[in-house]
Amino acid sequence: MSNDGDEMNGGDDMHDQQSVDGLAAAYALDALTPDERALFEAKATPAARREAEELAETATLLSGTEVAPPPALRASMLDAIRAEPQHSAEPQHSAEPTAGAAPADADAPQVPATTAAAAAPAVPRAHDASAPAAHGGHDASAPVTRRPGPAERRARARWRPARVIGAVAAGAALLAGGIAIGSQLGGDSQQEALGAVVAAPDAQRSEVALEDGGTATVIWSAERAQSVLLFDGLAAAPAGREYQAWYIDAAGPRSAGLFQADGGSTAVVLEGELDAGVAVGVTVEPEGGSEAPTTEPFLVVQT
Amino acid sequence: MEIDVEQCLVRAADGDERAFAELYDATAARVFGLVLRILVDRAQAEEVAQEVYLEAWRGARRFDPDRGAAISWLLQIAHARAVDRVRSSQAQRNRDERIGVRDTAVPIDDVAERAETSLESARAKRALTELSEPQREAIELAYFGGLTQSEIAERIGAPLGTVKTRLRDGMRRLREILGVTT
Repeated sequence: MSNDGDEMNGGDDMHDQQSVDGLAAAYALDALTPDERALFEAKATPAARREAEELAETATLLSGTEVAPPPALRASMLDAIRAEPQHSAEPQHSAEPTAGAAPADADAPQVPATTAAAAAPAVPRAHDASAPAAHGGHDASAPVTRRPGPAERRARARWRPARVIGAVAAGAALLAGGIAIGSQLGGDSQQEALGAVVAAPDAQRSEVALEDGGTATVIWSAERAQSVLLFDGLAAAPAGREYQAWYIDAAGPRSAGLFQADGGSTAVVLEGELDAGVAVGVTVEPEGGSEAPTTEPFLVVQT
Repeated sequence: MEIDVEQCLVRAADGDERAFAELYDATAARVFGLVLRILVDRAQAEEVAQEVYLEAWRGARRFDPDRGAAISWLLQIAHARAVDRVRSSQAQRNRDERIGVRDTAVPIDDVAERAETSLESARAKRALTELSEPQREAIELAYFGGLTQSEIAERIGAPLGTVKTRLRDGMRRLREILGVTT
């Protein structure tokens, strides 16, 4: 545990905060486990993120060693990039601009930049730059069906299957049809679920501008009885709180999982089955979630 | 530096392949040097280096010249990619074979016989010597060995808290000594 000042801490929250912020150096050195990394990205203070960014830069100075790669690498790299789409800056299109499309559009041209910047701890922090796998191009109908790119392989390697996906590494934005999907997908099952829903022949989507800026996109497939939530620019929940997703039908709301966000891009595969015609809602709940919503949903989308 | 690598990267973000090639020419030895240092295995280092540039190409738009140098951006991608690779088991095996199941801490001159030692590298080595031995050890195990803080603690038989403190204090000291490039 990092220590200076720890003894002074006024309570668990502060203690936790210091212990999270104390991961900055290890974060900068890529010396964290996926869980620790996620924790840092989700909870570190801006000052700690800045420090991580600076220390990551310092660390790059350690590697002054130069070794010329074989000439063939250059040719093969140049071939590869020709076949490789870049993250475009084209505006996000709102399929159904439910609420104020204007803010969404205003933000859109910066999607890639925004997601990167939101991942405060490092402009390129590999994770962010792990430009995910935008292989699929920008066709909304087949966004996640591409071969796994480095980011995805990374995600597979680094993320254990999680019950719910935390919104962590804002960076990695998988730009599919203008949607930024975070790299925080938890393991193969989540990756696959996401891909399957988005690529489902009957997939439908609805995009909503959030009140506090940012956008939410719900993509659902009745056939698969699944849905995913994609956020771009959803701020972190207040301390001690988490986001909770709900399926809401005539019988009332039932929990569809908890998740975190950090202001960048967040992808969540909802838990449980989507029944025809349910609404998807999201509320802010105390950590650990609630049996039933205790706050007004800030997002409700009818499927 | 004769060419402005930051500009190259900015132009590459607009799909300028020539600019990207220039960027590659100006940075490949650093990137490859780092990746090879971490992975030891040459074939894997080549694969990872290619991944790094692909990722840089795709994500070039995320590079913000106001927030850091292009080389630093690239090296951060390279480091994370190489560490990912080293943590995957097969890579670990190959690497252990390659270095004869020595300590994961690759001796600092391990690749030096075919490496050009840059001014910067000399400076960094010097800076490392100004750290306490335990700090230097922890940072090298992390940065070049690809170990997590917990793995470092296990390897050196120190409490995790101690390792965290060494990494933090050591890195802060390095930042003081080396300054921040931007």
